[in-house]
Amino acid sequence: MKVLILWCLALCASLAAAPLTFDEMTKEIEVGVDDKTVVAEFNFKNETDQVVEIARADGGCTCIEAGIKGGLTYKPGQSGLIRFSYQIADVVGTVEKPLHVFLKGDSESNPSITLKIRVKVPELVILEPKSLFWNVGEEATPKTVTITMKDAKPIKVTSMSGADTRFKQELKTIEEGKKYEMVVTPASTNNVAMGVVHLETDHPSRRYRTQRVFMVIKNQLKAASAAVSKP
Amino acid sequence: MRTITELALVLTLSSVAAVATWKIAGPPDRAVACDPAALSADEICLATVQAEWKDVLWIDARPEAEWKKDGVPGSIHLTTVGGGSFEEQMEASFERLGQAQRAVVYCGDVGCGVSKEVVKRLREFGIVPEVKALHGGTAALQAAGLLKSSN
Repeated sequence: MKVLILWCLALCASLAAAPLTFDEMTKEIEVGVDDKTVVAEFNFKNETDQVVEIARADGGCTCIEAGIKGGLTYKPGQSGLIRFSYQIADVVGTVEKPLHVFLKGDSESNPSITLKIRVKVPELVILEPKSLFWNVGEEATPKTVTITMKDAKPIKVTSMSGADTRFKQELKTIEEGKKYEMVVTPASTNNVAMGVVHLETDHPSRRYRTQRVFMVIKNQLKAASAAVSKP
Repeated sequence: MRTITELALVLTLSSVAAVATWKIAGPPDRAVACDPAALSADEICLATVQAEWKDVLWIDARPEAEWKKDGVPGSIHLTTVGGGSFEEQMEASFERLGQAQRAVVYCGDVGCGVSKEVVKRLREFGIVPEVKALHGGTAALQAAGLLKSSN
């Protein structure tokens, strides 16, 4: 029985040990205006006295690919590298992504190691505010959105379109390529209404080309439950 | 030989205890544990949603194919992974978002993180007055029978 107890204790001790030691657990990356992909490399070392086996590395979404350089099994003292490649798509601003490293025996919901990347994509077109609100029954006063370009080169607003006749909008140029104002006035605030205005810019990157301003006239009281459609 | 006999005895006894527990107490509870006091300000427990949040708008932050496969009935799709820009997706579901007072965003599992990102971005627009990320994501919804694939 003593042998059995000692064997169990040894097993527990090995499971409780810190599995892999990483140089950094979080990486901050600033990307360029045109960058579409971010690559983050995490160096690690097995500083335990046990062999560690990696089952898989996973970014938790289809936008992240993971690769492990050095194989899946690491003897004591052995080093390796995990590389994550993140497709940024049209995201602007700061995005944080958790990156999971599952060791052999980990459950699907509880990886042994969670790394993180914090990606900063430049915000070149700033809309302030991003949405405009009126309450049903209040005065239909004009409200203004300020559009500020934060690039060294000018970014011009080339067109403005809003298909909804319940709102009127007017674009004012404060400084061409640098600053604009859009003034929106609801035709009426008698009923709940929603609208979107599209602003097109001449920036070559798709990420900065189309901007949207959202307008809502809503009841102050709780709205009725929405219709169920999909999925 | 003696050690092997003892090991076999321990395994037999623990197996009998496990079967007896299953018979007496029923199958294991697969609900995702959630302590409201331990959550961040961005998160909410499913039990809180069910008890206190009425007429909630469910937002699926997984890839579109997964939402179509087994999303919560009546949910909308809004994510920061793949597809068009966030604003473009918001516009597609704007009628629903504009009428919602409360929305709960869920993603794939406990640590997926996309739901919190969607919460952060939605708050920047201020269209839904109250929006939180569901702790436990689809695992919690599956255990509660709220996904289309739940049985």
